[in-house]
Amino acid sequence: MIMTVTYFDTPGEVAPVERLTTRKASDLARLLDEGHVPFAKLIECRVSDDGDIVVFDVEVEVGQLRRHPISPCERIAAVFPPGDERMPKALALRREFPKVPHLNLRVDDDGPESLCLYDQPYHDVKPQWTSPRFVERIRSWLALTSKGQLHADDQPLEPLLWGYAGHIVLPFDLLGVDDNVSDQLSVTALSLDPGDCFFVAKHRQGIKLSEVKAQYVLCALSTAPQPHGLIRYRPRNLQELARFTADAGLDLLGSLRQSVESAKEGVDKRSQREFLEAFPILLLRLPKSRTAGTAVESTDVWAFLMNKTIRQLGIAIGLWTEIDGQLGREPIPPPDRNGQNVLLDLLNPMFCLSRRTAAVLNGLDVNSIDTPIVCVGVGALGSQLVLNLARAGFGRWTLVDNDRLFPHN
Amino acid sequence: MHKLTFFPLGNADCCRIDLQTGQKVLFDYANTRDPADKKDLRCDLEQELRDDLTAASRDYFDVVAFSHLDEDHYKGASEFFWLCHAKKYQGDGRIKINVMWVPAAAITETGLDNPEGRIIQAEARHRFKQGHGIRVFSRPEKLRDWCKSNGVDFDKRKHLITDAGNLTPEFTKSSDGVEFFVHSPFAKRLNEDDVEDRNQDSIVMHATFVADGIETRILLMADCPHEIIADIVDITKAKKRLERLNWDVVKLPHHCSYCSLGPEKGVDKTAPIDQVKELFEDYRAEGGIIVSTSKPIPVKGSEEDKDKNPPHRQAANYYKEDAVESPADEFKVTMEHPKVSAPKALIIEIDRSKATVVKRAAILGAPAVAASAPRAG
Repeated sequence: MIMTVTYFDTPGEVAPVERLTTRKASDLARLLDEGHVPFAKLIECRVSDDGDIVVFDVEVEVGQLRRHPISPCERIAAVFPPGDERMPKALALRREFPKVPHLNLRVDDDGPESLCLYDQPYHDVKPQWTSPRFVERIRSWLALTSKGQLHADDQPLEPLLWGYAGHIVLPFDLLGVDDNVSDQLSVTALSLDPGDCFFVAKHRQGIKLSEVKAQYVLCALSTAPQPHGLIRYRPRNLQELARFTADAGLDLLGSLRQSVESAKEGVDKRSQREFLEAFPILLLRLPKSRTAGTAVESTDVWAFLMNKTIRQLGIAIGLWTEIDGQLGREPIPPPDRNGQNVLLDLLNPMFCLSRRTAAVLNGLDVNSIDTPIVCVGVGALGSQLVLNLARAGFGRWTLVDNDRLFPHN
Repeated sequence: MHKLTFFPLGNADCCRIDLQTGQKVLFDYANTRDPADKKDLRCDLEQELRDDLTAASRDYFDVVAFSHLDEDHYKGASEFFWLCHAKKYQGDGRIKINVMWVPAAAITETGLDNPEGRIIQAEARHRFKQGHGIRVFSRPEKLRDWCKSNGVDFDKRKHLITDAGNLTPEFTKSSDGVEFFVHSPFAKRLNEDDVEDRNQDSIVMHATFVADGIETRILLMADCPHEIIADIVDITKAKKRLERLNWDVVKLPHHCSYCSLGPEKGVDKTAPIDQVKELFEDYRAEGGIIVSTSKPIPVKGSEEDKDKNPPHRQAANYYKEDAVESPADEFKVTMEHPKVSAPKALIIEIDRSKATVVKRAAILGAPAVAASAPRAG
């Protein structure tokens, strides 16, 4: 029985090497054709709207026992964009090529996977570029992937999601507290520009939720730990997000119904209207481990801005039903109200600096943050020194100066 | 990690086995390259082995097996090895053999016409008479007769003989990470046949390597014809030792000859007899590797294709299309690896991923010291 390997179609039309216009493409094609690239064999050249394409087979060093089913021979299409402004793409053409870490994200699920070969921008890769090295990089990417060793031990874990619409600044101590944090945070929108939204969340410090005219309400939830690996494109609606969190052991819709209902209970009658008209921001904590079952190494925090008010959300997830402007509780959530029409924008969270974080980021010994220091004279020089050291998280300062800080200081 | 190295020698054999304990075993030695021919692509076997031994600070092999006394399995051995039976083979720089492995026929065979074959035979006979430094496979009546006529007490040589169906005592899985199981030769065949057929009487072994608790199984099939493979499969199944048929790597018998598959060459593909088909198709492990120690496989209609000698395109088609399954398995030819125009030793590493064909390339223009290895983004 002959097993046949099937490949994805490559765009464009087959062309002789001479018709390739990109220098890198024609150089690669010629070297392959003349047999100058070890463990690689030219299949064909193509020209397309995306640029010149060189299709070749590479022999990959793979053991018999493989973490990911990479084959001893893989077919690659290298796509060279015209103008050489963007990173050439390496597409794995075999139809059964596995879903593995370090593939480039793509919006649709059809067509060949694109290998993410470098963690540097193209202009940094360019000076080192030679065709044999490019092929060698592809071969080692495949070989390491087959062993599950592509992600280096000292590389930080991969984010779980990608594709955000803006930022949200969160208090530095947020990760250490439980999901009830939502009650104690107020959110302000500084920008609502599409693609550059900017929110700041702060501790309320004594102000109760019921007393605040909230435009945005935070709701925090956590998943169970999951191994990092595949980066996924952001979920576009609540239903998709629920599917994503279900894999990590969180019943998102169920938990949301609970927290929205209990938040509503906590708001007094006079503020009910403002509360129901506020837009919810879901804060999701996703603990990550290096491999399944190992200790949590870091935690992704993602914020999702919803396009529905709390009132609309409650209805969309089957918590409430609206009769004559009044909200009533659904006895059992109807299955078609699954959050599909609640659209999400992903916000990339940033954390405020604590003195400790500042010290770590500045490479200081964290024990040094409480070193008591007295600075005598806080003028032109002293003021600069103290401010910069304090911003770096260094020392607990006592300042001694009987003068004012004047403009010329 | 254990390592197998198959050298590009044309239609000839030499496989070095480097055990993770540091021990070195050689299966056959045939330095076939013609130093006068600058276009000869075969490797300088002597130099390659010397370089490796020098790097390991050694002047000996733990075991050297001569699977049978055909020239493509011993050519040049009398110039390379330190032979105990005569002073003239004991000069400086000769490589010593701790234990020599030979089939019984190598001792009993008469009328060897190749002078170098007679030297290897003299060495085997000498060691057997001395009673050490040798292991002989199978005990036919002829060996008993040979002992009688040479004044050797057969009963005092029994510890030097290993029959088919047994493990060689030189290595164990627990202390060396490998064991060698003997499939052939069979004493029965040697008793029945008056004519000694070297291919039929060659040493066929099944080696089980252990690395990090993972076992990898290798079949070393010398020049074994299909009739013997049929016997091996039948006997091993009858004795319920199926694990001795399982393979991860197989060194093809007889340089990819159709005779090791079946009686007829076929037009485009050799049809294997049932037992051979079973061995290759049912006992192969996922990701199996087939190694043909041969010249490149000829293209249909080429001059080489008309050659009666192996490799046979029809046999290769069977191995490539039926014995290995794309895309997981591999079929490798020593004179084609990594490319026909510049063959190099085919190295197979054995570790917890089982067998891996090494495919490392030295890239020209790469800086001697890279700032950092590229990482996947």
